[in-house]
Amino acid sequence: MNAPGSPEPSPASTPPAAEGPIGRVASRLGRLDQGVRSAARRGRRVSWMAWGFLFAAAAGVPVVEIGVYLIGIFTVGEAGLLTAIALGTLPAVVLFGLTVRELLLGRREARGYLREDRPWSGEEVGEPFGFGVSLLSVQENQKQISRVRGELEISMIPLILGGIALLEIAGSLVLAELIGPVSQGLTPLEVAFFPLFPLVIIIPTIWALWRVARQWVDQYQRGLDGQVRQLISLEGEFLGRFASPSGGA
Amino acid sequence: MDRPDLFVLGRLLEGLALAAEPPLRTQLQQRAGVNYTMLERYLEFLTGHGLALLDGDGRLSLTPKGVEAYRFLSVSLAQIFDVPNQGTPLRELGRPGAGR
Repeated sequence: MNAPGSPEPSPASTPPAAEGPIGRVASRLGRLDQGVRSAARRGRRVSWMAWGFLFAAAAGVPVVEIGVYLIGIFTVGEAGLLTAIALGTLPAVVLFGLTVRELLLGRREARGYLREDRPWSGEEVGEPFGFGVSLLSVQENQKQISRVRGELEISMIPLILGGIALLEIAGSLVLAELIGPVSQGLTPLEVAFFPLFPLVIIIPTIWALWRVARQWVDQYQRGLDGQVRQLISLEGEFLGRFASPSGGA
Repeated sequence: MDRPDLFVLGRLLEGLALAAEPPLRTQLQQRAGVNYTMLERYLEFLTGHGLALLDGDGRLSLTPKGVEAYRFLSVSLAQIFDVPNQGTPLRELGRPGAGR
């Protein structure tokens, strides 16, 4: 829309439709839609990485055992044992690191997409109406975020199991090979400390990761649940007021 | 049409409300980003409920009821999605009972 009295067309970056509040709402919804799609992709990646981590941790056992067997043959000593443990557990450790990274990035990304004062990007201004946005798309986003939540919850299981496996391998081998000779004189309680120690590490770690995952998904879910509820109520109110046979202005 | 989508209705109402002059169907279709079939269905809804008028030249405009519907919808949607109305007079109407 041209300014009053102006013969010149509006600049392309500020099309007339963007000036209206509904255009701005739709643009914001379009952005939220992108955020939800991105969260769904990240959720799937976290899931794959978590199962990969469990697989790598389980596969690390034979690798370390072979290493220990070879060490027995070639008697390369404690440094060789530590190298075998490091090599055997490296893929699992890398996958665990990538999973943590995805979770942290997901949480940060959610904050970015949901920030109210985030400036409009050129792309959003260029497509002011957020075409394709509808009540249905908001409800779809709500469902998709619930699915992401489910995927992330299930992903915690392989993370816990893989984490226990990984630390137990390392813990028991270190106990058996390095501390074993010394442990002859230890009390049962002191010996139990070594296998239990990994659990003391893994449980708080997974709990912290679970909190990150929840913060990430909750940011979307809280907003979407409220929006869908209010949209349904608004729809009823609008139709009752403007589209019922007796409705009049 | 049993349940029109509020966003599609909103786009069409906004396209009509903010147009410098009453648009033709194709202009409104372009502004609102809807396909022709959808435009026809929603125009039928808008004119059928007295929210929009189609004149003899094929140009569309809002009725007073349509203007009120647009204001109601834009204020309500802006409230739900925390989008500022940026000083437009639409705020004045507000939405009675908009429990947020």
